[in-house]
Amino acid sequence: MKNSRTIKVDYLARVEGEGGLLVKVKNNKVTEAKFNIFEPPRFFEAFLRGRRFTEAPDITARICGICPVAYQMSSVHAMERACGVNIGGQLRELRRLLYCGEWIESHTLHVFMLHAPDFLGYQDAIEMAKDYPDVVTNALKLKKIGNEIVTLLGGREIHPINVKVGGFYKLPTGTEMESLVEKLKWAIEASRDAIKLTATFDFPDFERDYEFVSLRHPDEYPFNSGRIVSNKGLDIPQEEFLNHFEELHVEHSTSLHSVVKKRGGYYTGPIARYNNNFDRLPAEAQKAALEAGLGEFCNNPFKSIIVRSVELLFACYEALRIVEGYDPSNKPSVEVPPRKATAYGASEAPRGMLFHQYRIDDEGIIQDARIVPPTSQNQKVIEEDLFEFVSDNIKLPQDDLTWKCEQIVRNYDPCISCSCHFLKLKIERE
Amino acid sequence: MIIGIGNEYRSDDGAGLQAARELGSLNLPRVRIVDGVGDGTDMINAWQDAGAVFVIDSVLSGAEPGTVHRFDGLRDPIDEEIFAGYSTHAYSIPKTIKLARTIDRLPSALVIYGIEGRSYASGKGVSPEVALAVRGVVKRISEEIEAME
Repeated sequence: MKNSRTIKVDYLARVEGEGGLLVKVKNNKVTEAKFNIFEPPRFFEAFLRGRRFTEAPDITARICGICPVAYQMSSVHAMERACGVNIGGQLRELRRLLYCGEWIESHTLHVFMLHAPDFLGYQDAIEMAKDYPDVVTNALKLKKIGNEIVTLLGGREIHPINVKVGGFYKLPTGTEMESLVEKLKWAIEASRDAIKLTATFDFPDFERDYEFVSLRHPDEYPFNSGRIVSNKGLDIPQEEFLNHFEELHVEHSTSLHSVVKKRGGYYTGPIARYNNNFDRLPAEAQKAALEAGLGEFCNNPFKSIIVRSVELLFACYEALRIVEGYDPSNKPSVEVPPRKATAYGASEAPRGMLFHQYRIDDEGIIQDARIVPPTSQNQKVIEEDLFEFVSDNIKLPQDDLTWKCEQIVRNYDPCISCSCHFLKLKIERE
Repeated sequence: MIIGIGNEYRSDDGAGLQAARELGSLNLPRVRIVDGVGDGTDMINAWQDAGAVFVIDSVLSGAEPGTVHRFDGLRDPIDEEIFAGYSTHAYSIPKTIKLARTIDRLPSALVIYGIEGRSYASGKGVSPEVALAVRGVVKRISEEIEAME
């Protein structure tokens, strides 16, 4: 009798970047679960050395075509904090609006085009579109609204160029902002429909005792600021990140694994933000989440698709609030004179917390840089999920099990290009 | 509408962008230039209100660098392999056409030009044979637009 097997997926589709998965099973016990990342390292941290502190937002935005805003936000906040400048008022609001645009774009793409086909049993969104043309058509419209926000604030749709240390190069006109109002009102209703649709999906009965790490702000659902907290008692200012977290080299990945020191893997991203900040969501988003059967705390990673839809609703509400309160008469930026300092900045990228640290000299020249993207932080938890899920579902036929393993990875909307800055999956049964 | 696709910081991958921008500098009447489309879904949104659409991208089919491939996007079968998506998160041109066809969002005319690249290494500027091909594509699209008028 065959007593061991291997589950393998060489190229995992519907994720960003190049990577793969390998799960080894022997005597019906999982012996190994690896999330392999083999995309070559990209050396962004080295490129930054010797560049001016003002160049960090534009250089780091190039790390990712999906979440450039997150890179810009973590870097500008780090630099401003290092130089003793606090950006408040409308400039801060406009940064939140830009982030709303990126969340709307990224969450829409993942929920509808990449993740929904898993639950509805289609190979991809093209197949799904034959049976759900309206869902796909509305998703395209929703994504376009996100793109329009990013274009308006960021200067262009991809790799925005209008963000600077100290604010923006140019602010939108009142008329340009008003053009978003009706679109965002439609987007709110489309997001509600997304929550209702995703709540009807079948979810595997799979829950784990995760440590959820995210930012938490006294008043807001987190984007660009707040303390780093977890459901296991962590509550630290951003500058203490490296005291509590460490990055480890593992042989099968070009991306570093992150752990909470002395505790292990942790979960960052929409579910972590939701669990740590349910009370900071607008009442309407809370109500929609509860009606979808989510509860205030969720530890089933497959349900991340509902949580992403709730965040989509939040981002649309937040964007509308900012657009309606816009005053075009303000200055686009404030001066940020450089000084010798260590700079720390964490913000909430669509797929989780993104931490930046820089050391700059008196002239504002970057001496060294450290970037910890969300996907590298989630790698260990993804491997643990694979190990546990295959252990619990060992009797599933190979095809079903492989499908579910791919789905486990997509629960995290990994952005492998960011983390090593790609995905292949293998389940081996010997 | 003319849509240029590519990354100008990856050598010949910038061919599509360069051709679109050169066409833009000709100020052709009633022609809108779009450069910098994120992925296929954005392309469907971009051509929403357009009549005829030309898409220019670099390709890697194994042909001689500078070879120009032309497809009728509404009729010709297109080899998915040669128009690789820049990421698996995004839709390549052939997948975008399939998706647009499924949800009835194809424009009335769709012409795809693919320019065979030599190098996709980091850095700005295209190879000499690709630069020549870009000029050829600019001329051909200008003539096609003129014939449409």
